[in-house]
Amino acid sequence: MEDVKRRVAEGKYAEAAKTCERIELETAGEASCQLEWVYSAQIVCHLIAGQVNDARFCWKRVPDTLRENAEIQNVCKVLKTLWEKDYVGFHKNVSAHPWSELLLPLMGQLAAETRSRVQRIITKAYTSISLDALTSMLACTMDEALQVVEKNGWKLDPSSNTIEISDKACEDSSEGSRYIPGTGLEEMTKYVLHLDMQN
Amino acid sequence: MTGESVSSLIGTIKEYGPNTTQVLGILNSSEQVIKSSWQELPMIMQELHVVQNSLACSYFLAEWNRHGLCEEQERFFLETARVFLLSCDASQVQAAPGKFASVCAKFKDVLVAKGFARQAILPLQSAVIKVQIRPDALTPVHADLLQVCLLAKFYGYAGDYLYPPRDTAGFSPYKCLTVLDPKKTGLTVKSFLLYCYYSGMVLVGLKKFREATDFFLKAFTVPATALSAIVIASYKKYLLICLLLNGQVSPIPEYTSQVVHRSIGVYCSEYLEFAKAYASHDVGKLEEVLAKHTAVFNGDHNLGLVKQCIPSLRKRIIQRLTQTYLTLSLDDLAAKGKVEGSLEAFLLEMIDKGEILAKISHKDQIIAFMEGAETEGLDVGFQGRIDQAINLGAEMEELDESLMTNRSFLQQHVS
Repeated sequence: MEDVKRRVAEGKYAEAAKTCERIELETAGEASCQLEWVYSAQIVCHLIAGQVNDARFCWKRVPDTLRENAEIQNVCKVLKTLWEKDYVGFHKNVSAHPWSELLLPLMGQLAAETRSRVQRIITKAYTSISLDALTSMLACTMDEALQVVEKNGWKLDPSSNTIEISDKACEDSSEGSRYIPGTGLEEMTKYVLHLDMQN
Repeated sequence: MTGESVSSLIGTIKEYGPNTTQVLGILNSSEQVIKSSWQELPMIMQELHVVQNSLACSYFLAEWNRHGLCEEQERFFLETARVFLLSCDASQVQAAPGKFASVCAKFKDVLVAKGFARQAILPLQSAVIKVQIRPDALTPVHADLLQVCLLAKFYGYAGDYLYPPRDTAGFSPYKCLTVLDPKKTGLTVKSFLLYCYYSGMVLVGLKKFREATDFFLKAFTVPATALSAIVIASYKKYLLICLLLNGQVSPIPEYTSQVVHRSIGVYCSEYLEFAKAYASHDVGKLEEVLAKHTAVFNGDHNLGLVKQCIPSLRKRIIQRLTQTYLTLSLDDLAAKGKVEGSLEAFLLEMIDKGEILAKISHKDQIIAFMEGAETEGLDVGFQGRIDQAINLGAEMEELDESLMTNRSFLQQHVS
């Protein structure tokens, strides 16, 4: 458990999940590992790292004896909402349940991570979004939503109560990656020359 | 009588210790003694050292693969084999890969039958490393390991550890192990087919559909003289994943063996009907065929994949709309795309995954489609692709050379 906590403290969530998986594998003698935190922490760490699919398989491995466990049940609800991309339900579930000492900081991280993921999707998918939709997707108050709007450099149009999404960061990054960097060009020139010589 | 010859055999083996070549000769010539003494294994294993006498352990343990075991024997076998697989000497077990593979197979079978597949993962992983002559060599143990990973639902684990390490440019790590050497690894046709099939299944679980088709394609295009159940099962999954990926089934490649080419369709008629319904771009029709053949799909454990085809067809219909329209009102799109539930959530997912390039505007209640989807991904891993092509060229040359100097190949195919 200490190992997992250390990885979490370092912010290496994917590795923390791997450590939990390792503990599961090394459990000898029984059909499956009977420590409930191994599964709950693993699922949440996978979710933070954006590996929803791995989290789902981990859920499937939870033995029947632990399925009734309250914390596992609650983690399952969180997982289900994220799997279905039900962000409203997700935030509701995160704040509705009491989390154990191990999971509490992880849940905070997960909520923050999910908010920023949602913002990325919004940037990608909308030219304008209604204020109501934004607040429900981020599960925040009107004021907090306005702060997000300001931080991202979006504009509120008071007449229609919609927010115009401008997408500066996205444009910049796509320009950058479209171009093959100088070194690649040099390598390619070499290959072409080489092939020319062979002909 | 046997008791005596076994103890003298063990005496000789211990005398030679780790001298592999000589021990191998002795073991091969005492096959009869090993066969007749299988029930005395607990006593024999006490005499032998797992590391010093790994080769002999392989022979004795492998003998148990031919017998049904009682509960007590099972327990003894599991414990002994586990220690053996984790700590045996690699160079010794490589001398008799076939025997080693039988030990692994029995170990897996017993644990799977007990429902403890998870416990087999680490020992078998160690076994793979021991028996591999090089890191990109395929062994018969690979299929066993993949099978237990699937049964225990450790998909991520299987994906992380079973394929050749990610190459420098970060190009797709999920490709087939390329070094196939039946003589040195004890690989059999069945274990190769199973490796392809299970790999494909793992990749489907990980939602790496493109890579998964590669493996299924390999399974049914491998030169064959008879149909096998694995080949048919692979083709069924291949069909469904092709639909998910491309919306249509690619024809069976020309180089597929005649026998597979001719008769595989007979065994997959329900799947071909499903593919035909998909190609008509009519969701209602597709659901109809699904309902009609649910029992077959379920029996083949393909119902999950089949069901995924329905949202996939909806997506494809929307993708086709992007080719016709530049902008569309959200209401129109819902009517044309026949999406159930929340259209916006559906669109968000597609945009997020890069399946369409579009922007939704709440202000005007429209969606605007954009162009330029095709250039994406071209520059990614460009260097990796060049490297891969060069490596592939080198491998082909090597293979060509080895075939050109192989007497039996030349006799059969050239003269």
